[in-house]
Amino acid sequence: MKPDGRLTLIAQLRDLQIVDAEGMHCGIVDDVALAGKPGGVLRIEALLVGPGGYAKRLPGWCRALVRLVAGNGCVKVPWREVESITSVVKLRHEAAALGLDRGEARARRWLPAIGALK
Amino acid sequence: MRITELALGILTAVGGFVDVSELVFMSQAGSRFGYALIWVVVISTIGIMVFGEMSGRVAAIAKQPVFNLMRHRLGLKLGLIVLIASFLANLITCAAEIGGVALVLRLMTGAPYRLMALVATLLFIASVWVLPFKWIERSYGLLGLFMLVFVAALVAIHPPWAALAGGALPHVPAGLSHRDLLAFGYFAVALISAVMFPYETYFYSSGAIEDKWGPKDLGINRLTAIVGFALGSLLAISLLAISAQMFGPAGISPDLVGTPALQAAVPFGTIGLLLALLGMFFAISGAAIETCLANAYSLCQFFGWRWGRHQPPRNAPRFTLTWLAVFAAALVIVLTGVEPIQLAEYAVVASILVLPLTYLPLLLLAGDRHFMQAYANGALAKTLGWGFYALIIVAAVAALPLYLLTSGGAL
Amino acid sequence: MRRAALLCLLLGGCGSAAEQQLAALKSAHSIVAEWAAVARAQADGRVTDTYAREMADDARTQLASARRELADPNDPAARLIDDLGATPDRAHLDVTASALGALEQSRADH
Repeated sequence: MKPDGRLTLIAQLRDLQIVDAEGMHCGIVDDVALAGKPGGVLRIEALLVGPGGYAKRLPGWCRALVRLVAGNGCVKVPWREVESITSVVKLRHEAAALGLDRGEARARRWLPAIGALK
Repeated sequence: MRITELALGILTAVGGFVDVSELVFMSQAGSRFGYALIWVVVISTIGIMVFGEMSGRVAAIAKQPVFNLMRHRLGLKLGLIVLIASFLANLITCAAEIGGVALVLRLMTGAPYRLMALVATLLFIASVWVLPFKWIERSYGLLGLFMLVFVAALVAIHPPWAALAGGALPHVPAGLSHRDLLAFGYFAVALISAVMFPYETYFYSSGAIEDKWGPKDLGINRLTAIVGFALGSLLAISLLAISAQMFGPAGISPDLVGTPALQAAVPFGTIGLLLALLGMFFAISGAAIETCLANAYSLCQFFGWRWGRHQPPRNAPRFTLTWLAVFAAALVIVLTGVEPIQLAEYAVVASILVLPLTYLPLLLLAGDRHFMQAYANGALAKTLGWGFYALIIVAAVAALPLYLLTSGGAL
Repeated sequence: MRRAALLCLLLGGCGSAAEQQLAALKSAHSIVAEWAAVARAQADGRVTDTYAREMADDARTQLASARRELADPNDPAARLIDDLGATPDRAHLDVTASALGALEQSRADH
């Protein structure tokens, strides 16, 4: 499915894996931001990625737990950055350019620089 | 090259089939009920073949592992329930495996149990950090083939083959008391769970992605799942059958993790004992690594993070931190002093409760033409898949009551 | 805790006291039988001394745990286990295993 094809439900998009231009996994479509007024054209503004995106979809008591464990960070990926949608959402640029690599960067600081066999 | 690949895949599946839960429950089942539960092992093996083949096919065609697609298919809330339930079940299983390895090392060296648990965990961490995925999978899987000493031991003790074969036909022994009937039901459920552990399909499916499987690998997938698991189950059945002949008449349950090694020591002496202990060490170690990585795969795939050992650890940092944390948590559980056999029992009960949640997304995905195109489940796969799913539901519903009513098979 | 107890009641009890005692007796019988089997294998030179020693240690620990479940010190099973001591010989293990097995059989039949 291409973004100029027919997207009939937000559910087709939500919870799809996101890969960047280099094919690296960089999150999941946790929610979708829409823009438009009642009676007018409703369009997808951005993909929301992070606990701030999916916490709202959980019951109230879960949200506090998510906030405590994972925080409430959320990256907005503008819809124009989406290149194609198949079983994954492919982006036009690398994760770093879109702010989607912060979690991995923070985690990397905890790891020793010990090599591995190829 | 592909023949070699296939042969290695099958041998790895054989060597990696048995873990500490199977070691314990096969031996106890054989001792208590003779050959009468062999048919449950046979049926469960067919079940894991069906779901194993499906998970490999989903990975090869959709190019996404089960947990990735599962969240999209089932939604966030139900997906989160499956994630948490399977994570906890796998964590307990991982702890049971580490405890089992620590006990085996203690039996071989005489070193303290808790120290061996720490040593084992550090060895696993080093293995997963340093070795490429294929080496991790193959080294422990192939070295687990030392377990074949149990097959040799079965032949050496000249069992009544006709009676053994008769155990493969579905039946419930006549004349069982009410208490024994409940225990029979409990062991049947436990064996189904031990053979069809959820971590096996998560690991197998993620491993297929790590190995970059595609449509051309579907033949290897099918053969590995069918032949590998079939031969692996022969190993498990050997443990059950030897126990029936050697332990049952002596009133041995067994309650000590090291007792199954006697099955090889009695016919073959110290060589048999050492081969058995080596086989147990590598097979259970492989299972410890698989359960840990299965949890890391599940968590990272659910949240869309980078994952996999096909890349250096620092290139998938959250994945690396996850499996390190799982090993650490499992080690902490072991260091509290809970007996590995007790942990194995908890693992089996927890896993059977989680099995319906684990296999439903896989069944739905494997039958979904949107993801699977021409490779979606055909009539046979659908029939077998849903048939085994019904069996799993029955086992899951019966598991906890049977566990409580039989005091975990002790009555 | 209350829900677990209720579940147990609904399921006919998580083992009555008699059933808990029977489970402990079965466990004790099995452990002593395993210990005896290891001792026999060691005498035949079929297992290493390290294996035999560690299995004996394990058996002692597990047996102590099963013994604690046998609340009545005059219970014949409890006395058999107490008489075993810390380093029983093979013959003593065999005799105790047989006696525990007989006790288990008679209690299971009731």
